[in-house]
Amino acid sequence: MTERKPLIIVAVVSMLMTTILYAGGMFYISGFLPPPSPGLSQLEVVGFYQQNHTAIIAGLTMAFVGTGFMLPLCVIGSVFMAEVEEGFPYFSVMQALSALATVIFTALPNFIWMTAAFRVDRSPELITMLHDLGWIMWATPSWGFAFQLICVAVVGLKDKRPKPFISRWMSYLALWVAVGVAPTPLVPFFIEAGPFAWNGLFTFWVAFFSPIFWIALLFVVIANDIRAGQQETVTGSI
Amino acid sequence: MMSNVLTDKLFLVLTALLGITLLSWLLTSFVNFEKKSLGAMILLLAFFKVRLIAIHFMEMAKTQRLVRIAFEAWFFLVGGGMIWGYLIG
Amino acid sequence: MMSAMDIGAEKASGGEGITYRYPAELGVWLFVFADMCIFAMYFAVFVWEKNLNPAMFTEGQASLSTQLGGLNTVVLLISSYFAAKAVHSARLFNIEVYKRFIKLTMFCGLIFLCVKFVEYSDKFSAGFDIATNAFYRNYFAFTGFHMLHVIFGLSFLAWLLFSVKTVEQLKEKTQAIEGAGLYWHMVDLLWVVLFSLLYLVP
Repeated sequence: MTERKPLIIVAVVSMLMTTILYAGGMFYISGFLPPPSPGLSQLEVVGFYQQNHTAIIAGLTMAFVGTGFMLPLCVIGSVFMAEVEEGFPYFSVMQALSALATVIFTALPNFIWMTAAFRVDRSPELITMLHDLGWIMWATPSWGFAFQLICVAVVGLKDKRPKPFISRWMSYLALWVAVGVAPTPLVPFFIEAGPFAWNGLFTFWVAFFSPIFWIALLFVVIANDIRAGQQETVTGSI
Repeated sequence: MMSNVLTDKLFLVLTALLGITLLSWLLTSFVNFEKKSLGAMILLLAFFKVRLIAIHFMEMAKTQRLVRIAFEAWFFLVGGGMIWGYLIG
Repeated sequence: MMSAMDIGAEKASGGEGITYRYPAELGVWLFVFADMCIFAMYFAVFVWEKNLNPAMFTEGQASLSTQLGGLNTVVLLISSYFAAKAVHSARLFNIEVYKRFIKLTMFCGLIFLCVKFVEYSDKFSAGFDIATNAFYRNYFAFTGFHMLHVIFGLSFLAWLLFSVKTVEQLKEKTQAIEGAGLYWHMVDLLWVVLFSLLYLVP
């Protein structure tokens, strides 16, 4: 069995990097999150890019660097999952590949928005188009992430060891998060703000924050496990 | 085997559920009530059905206390909130 | 009075007296509760938007077919009854009865999907779709999302039908069957509220 603690430390540190870089870049510096309404007029969109030109490029660059740091956690998850699976670790490989899709689709829109901010003096139609393209690409493809969670849950529920790699209720909660991110393919239907637009209640607030809630909970559970394990070894040595 | 007490109870619950469904449909089609009170009544019947399903089909009564409290809270908050929101609108 | 559930639990623990066992895993209850909370937000959004624009919602509701919606409610209630019976016979390790009830449950679920298909194609041919207005956006999104739940539920049931061939396998899977039953009841319960809210409440 792979030594768990160093891997978990790497995962925690890299997720911290993601949180700082992505949240800082998107929420604080560039102001892209929470998302603007899809109902903004052309003038407002162009104005947004013109006024915050440098901040947008700086924030988006920071954020896309941050997305890469999601990979260590996902790959380490696959390492633990592969210990459970018999034969070819199908679900672990699938989880890692879906993680790649998630990272790519989270990072790619940043380059499209950067293109929009790159030459702000180009025609307003083109800037609006790039803006829309970026948002649709960012908000719609959540199913790679749903696949990741389903793989984790399937292997987590198959794990019959006395100490499974994640507890069973976390697996069920992962399935719930997969349900929570499921409505995002509805995003391209709505050009007005509403619960299913790209800044909507279900397609942004639930779909974006339920995975974050799950990952935060995962770290709390892991930290508790490690603490309990240390106490066990301490009492064991006495 | 088929005349077990539990199976009979489940069948009674099913009959009650179907009866309430029919009743709420009849209410909308054939009875002239004031609009808001009719809507509130239908929602009330719906949440009564929901509780029947939860207690008898889901066996909510036999689970841990925390689960039971959480589900009852859901029923009363969501049901009450919906009827309240409907009535003030 | 000793209910059948206790008898099942006693058998499961190898006959060492009655050990009380909860129906389904705690994790399934957690999932069901969390999912119901998402649907609670759907209901809230619907009531909220109905209050904002009552005329549009009344007009939209008039175009829905209460008969088809009511038929689906009846079908789903009956399927829920069959699912409860399947769980009950699984606890008694009665594999023949169990399989029959699972098949009946799945049959009702498939009827639900067929009716849904008829209903949706009616709406599409009448020129309504998800982007028409707020009422149809909610109608298609909420019922569509609910239909997705039905499809997933049917696949769980199919798995539990085809992977259980012997009594030993049934004994192993009793808790999974209880979980699937619980999920199926949740799908039924949510449809009951959706039906009243979308089709009936004036």
